[in-house]
Amino acid sequence: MIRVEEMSDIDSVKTKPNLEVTIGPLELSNPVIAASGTFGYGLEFSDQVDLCRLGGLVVKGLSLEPRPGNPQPRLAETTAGLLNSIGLQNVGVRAFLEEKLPELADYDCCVLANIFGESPEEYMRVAEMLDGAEGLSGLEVNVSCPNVKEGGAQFGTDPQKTREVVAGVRKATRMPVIVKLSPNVSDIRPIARAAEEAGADALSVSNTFLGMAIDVETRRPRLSTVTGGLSGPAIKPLALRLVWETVNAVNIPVIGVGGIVSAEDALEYIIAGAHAIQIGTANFMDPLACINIVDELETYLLEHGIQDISELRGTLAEK
Amino acid sequence: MQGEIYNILRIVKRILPEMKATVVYNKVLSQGYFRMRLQCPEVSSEARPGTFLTLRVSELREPLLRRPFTIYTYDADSGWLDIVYKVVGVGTWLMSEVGEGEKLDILGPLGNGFTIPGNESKILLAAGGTGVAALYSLAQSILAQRHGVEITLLTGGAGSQDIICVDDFEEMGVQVLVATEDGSMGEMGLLTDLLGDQLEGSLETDDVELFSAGPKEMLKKVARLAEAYSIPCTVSLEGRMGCGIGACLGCVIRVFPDPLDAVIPPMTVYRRICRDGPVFDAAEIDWDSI
Repeated sequence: MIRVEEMSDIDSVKTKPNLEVTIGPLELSNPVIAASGTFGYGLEFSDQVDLCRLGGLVVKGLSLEPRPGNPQPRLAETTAGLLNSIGLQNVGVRAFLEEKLPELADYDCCVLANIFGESPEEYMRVAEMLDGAEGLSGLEVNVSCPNVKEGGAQFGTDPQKTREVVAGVRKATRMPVIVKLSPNVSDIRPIARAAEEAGADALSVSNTFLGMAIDVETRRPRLSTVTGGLSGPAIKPLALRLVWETVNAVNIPVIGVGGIVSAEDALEYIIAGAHAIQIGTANFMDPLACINIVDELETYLLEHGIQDISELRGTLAEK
Repeated sequence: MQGEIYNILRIVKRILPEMKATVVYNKVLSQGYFRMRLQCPEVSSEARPGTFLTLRVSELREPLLRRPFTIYTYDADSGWLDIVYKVVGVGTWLMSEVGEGEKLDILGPLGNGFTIPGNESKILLAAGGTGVAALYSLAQSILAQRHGVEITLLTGGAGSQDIICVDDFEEMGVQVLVATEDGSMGEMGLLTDLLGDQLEGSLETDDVELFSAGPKEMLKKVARLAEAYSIPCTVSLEGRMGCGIGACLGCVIRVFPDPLDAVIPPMTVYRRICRDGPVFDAAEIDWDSI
């Protein structure tokens, strides 16, 4: 693999646009982050992807104890989308700290741990255990998994409960705290403000949208849990609207998540006001999706004579 | 100036490792069944029996996900590998339209593959439909390592159009027995009936080793038969995959917990077909969950 950094004999190095972004206390080499649940513990992708080239990666949601996840079927492909009901299968926070994180530390990459719990106390406990772990850059608090009763969505759909969970995590850790909000709400703004007031450093907007699909031959639902979370290009306009609304409602950075498969998609979020973006389902279409988007963003900036990606942020023109 | 830099960057980026396979041929085997040969030395040089690859069948966003295919056979020296597939949906329909010389985005080889049996047992292969594709390179490898070993392939499907690749096995000297549900080829009935008869008729089942691939419901019956006759059974599973590399946890299969990690109450354990498999010891799988 040839990296841009290695092309020292090419003039472009001097004029290489700046892709670095700052999200509260976090400094990322570029705004492209691999989204939780689509990138395993990072290591699964290390054969295909130079993890050091990612702006960051968010590992699969972690709970205090390991969780087995939901029965099959867990996936259903829909038009330009993917329904899933994995059910937060994960190795648990201890195994993550002992087995996964030390291996990840070999890569110079911003690693964020997505966490969830069945109670505000469990969120705090997980946050405490991860606090200051070597090789970990911050936490993403999941108050929005739609696929299990205890997946946090009962917290993320209520401003008061969101405040309680985030305040608890804030107390439990000195690390940067990002809160991943649910799209399955009538108005995301009060919940975003509650997270901000409780001490969140940034918000990820958003998670999968509740959906379902039916096999008309058997008349059975295509997922074992009947409903699941929809991701992929199908949800991009929906999530983009939520990001734009959230950006206008809070003063902390927002990370745009939902259906991004190309630099053009990523740019829409950045123009709407996102500081960074996360790539999820596109990693399944192409393991190099994140890296390709980093390269394409750089090309876009070069083509448009923009020196720093931050110049684009929140530049949505009046119609 | 900027345009120039852009062009330089664009050329450099083309070198990035997006692996492509060139289609050598894509031919009809039977109604709805195809065999595709792909030229891709990077994958064929690493392939082993039972491993698979994924293809992105459309550059557009429909279908969204890559499609997994077991590697039917491969030649590392010449750099090609073959897959066998049945048209079952949009993805495989698009595949069937791909012509010679076209390039496909490929990822592989993936998965664990078969362990080639080293003892002197007779080999039984039991394949349902395109499951036969997972067993051909296994038979090739066994014959290459153990000249003259007795291998029998039992293959079944709804009708004669579903019985594919039989000639390839026969040319190698593998004995082939066929079952079709409509009786249009071989015995009338299910593959598992045929397997049951074989095991019943065989006086010495203690030196038989069974390998099977096909739909999970069929494998469940095969595994039950193997258990009843106490013969070792290895299965290659098919799964609905999201990523194909073990990250998304979409294609998991329920297995019995490792007795060494026993927790009380016993925790449900799922393993990833794409990364921990697709080849599993049948005794490891919790078939009741299917």
